[in-house]
Amino acid sequence: MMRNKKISSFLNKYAVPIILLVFVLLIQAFNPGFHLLTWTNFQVILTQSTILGLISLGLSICVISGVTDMSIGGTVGLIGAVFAVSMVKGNGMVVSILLALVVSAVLYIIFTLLLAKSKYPSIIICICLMFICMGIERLYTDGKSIWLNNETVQTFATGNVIGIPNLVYFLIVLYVISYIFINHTKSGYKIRIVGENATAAVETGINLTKIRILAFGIAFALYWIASVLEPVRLGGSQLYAGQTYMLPAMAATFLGSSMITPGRVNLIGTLIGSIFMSIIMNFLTFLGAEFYFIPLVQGLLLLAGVALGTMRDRSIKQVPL
Amino acid sequence: MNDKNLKTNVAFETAKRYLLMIGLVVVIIVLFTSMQPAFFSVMNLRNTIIDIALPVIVAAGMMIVIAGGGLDMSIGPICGFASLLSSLFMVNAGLPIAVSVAIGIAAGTGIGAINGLMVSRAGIDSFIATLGMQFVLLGIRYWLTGGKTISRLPQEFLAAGRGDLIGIPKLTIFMIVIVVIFIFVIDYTIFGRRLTSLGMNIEATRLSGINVKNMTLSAFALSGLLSSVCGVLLAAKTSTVTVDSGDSYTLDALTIAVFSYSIFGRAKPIGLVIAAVIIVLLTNGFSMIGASPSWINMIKGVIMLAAIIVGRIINKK
Repeated sequence: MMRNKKISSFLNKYAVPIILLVFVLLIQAFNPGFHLLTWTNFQVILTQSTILGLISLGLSICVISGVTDMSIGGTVGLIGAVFAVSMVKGNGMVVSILLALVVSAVLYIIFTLLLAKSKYPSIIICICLMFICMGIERLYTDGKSIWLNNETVQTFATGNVIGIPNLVYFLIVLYVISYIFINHTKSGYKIRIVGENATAAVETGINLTKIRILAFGIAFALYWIASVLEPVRLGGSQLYAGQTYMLPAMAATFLGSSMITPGRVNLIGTLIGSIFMSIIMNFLTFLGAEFYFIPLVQGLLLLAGVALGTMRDRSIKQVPL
Repeated sequence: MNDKNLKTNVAFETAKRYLLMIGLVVVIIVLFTSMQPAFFSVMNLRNTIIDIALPVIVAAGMMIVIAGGGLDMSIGPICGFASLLSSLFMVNAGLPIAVSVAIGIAAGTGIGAINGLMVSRAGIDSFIATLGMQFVLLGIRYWLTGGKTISRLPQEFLAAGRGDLIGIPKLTIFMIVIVVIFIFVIDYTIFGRRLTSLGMNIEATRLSGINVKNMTLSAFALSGLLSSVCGVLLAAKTSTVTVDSGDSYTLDALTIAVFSYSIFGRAKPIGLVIAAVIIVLLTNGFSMIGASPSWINMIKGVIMLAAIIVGRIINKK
């Protein structure tokens, strides 16, 4: 009996990561040309998952605090575009990064004013913000993609220290900090309580608004870093770059919620989810799959991830308006 | 307060909200006419009547889902999928028009039902389920067409989307029929009552013996049905079908439905029509004064945001 319990608890936590690992290994086994296990390709995948990982990390912290932030599709793109345009205008690295910070701060303030008190329906508000940001982004960049052509940026983006690409350090450091913050500090604990049961949290004397302001602050700081790194990695800012990350980030987050602490969004799950999504994207590119395949696979993975994550609570979740 | 007083009060509150929206229409017309006199012309007003038809039809679908406590982000893609499928059967397979249209609408309704199953049976958040479906459909549509445009639709089919019947544009007649059915269903049938109750309090609805899972499922299926009807009409209106035709209707449907739902605090079909007039007038107005099309999506976002905030204030929720 005891043993059965242990096994089932182990399976609860690690079944999905094991399935994902087997899946990836099968892909590798049937496609010997796909050099997943070589360090070079793994470096590429890790670099790709850096941006996705950071955005998903911000999204996860929002979800943990009880608000699903759907506005990433617009905000991330807008911040990145502001950074890229400023770089092209010759403002210099530091000024451009600070400018991007100012934009993130403004978006953060608007977001907090509208959503911290749970006065309005969060999903619709996020959709509105997303479309507003996308509109501003398009006006600001004139609907064009912007290329940086900056040597310092290129050397930084392609360089590595002791074999680990520069960008990946951001991923590692920020994940470690966020993990410790969410799981091992008092404030992180409060963020989790607020997300679990806002009413109970308020009854125990937690200031809901304050905790949400804190959680959103961390999330937007992460979006800021990710949005600046995105043009650095690609050498430019694509129009609506945020849109391309929205679906994978949600898939990574909700796929992550089906492991480690099943039914709850957790940071380690999110990291595994992000790396898995990057591997799949990398594999599709390797296959030279028709471009329609990518949205199809992303959509199915999102649905599968959410279905796995909600397996324990299959009641209807309403979106009150 | 006795019963009669309450009734007059409700009528007064509803009238106030209609006045607010009609006032907005007047303000928009005055503003754009002062900038561009051609805005207030028979031509443009006729265009407006035609242009609101399809958005109102999809927004009706969105409204049913919202009234049932959900959100459907796959409306535009279902619309495109239905128009693509029916025109493929018409042009490539050479099936009769009626059969092709029936296949398109059945497929769209089926996709809506799949959405409904994911939300009601698997317990997936409706926003996320339909967003995933949006991308799946995008992939399927590319796969079906290989990115090519479908044209050379049969003339008899195209006739459905053009011209007038007794002096009213045909598309507008389709819209009026659907709005009348919608008014009847929402206000005068058991289904409508149960749907409203589902959106207001799911637990109370379940405890009063209503099958909430099937209600949610049928709300999404109806949304799929209306979107695919819109998709077929869209193909007839534009006479060519591309891979991304119909996609913009998601935002239109959302803006119109959220606008009217927030202002009235419940599903109001006539409110839907006025909201559609506002959105279409703004879209046409911006293009007539030569503003960049990037503005219009932004404006839609701002309108939705403003409507939610104003709605909260006047409905004192």
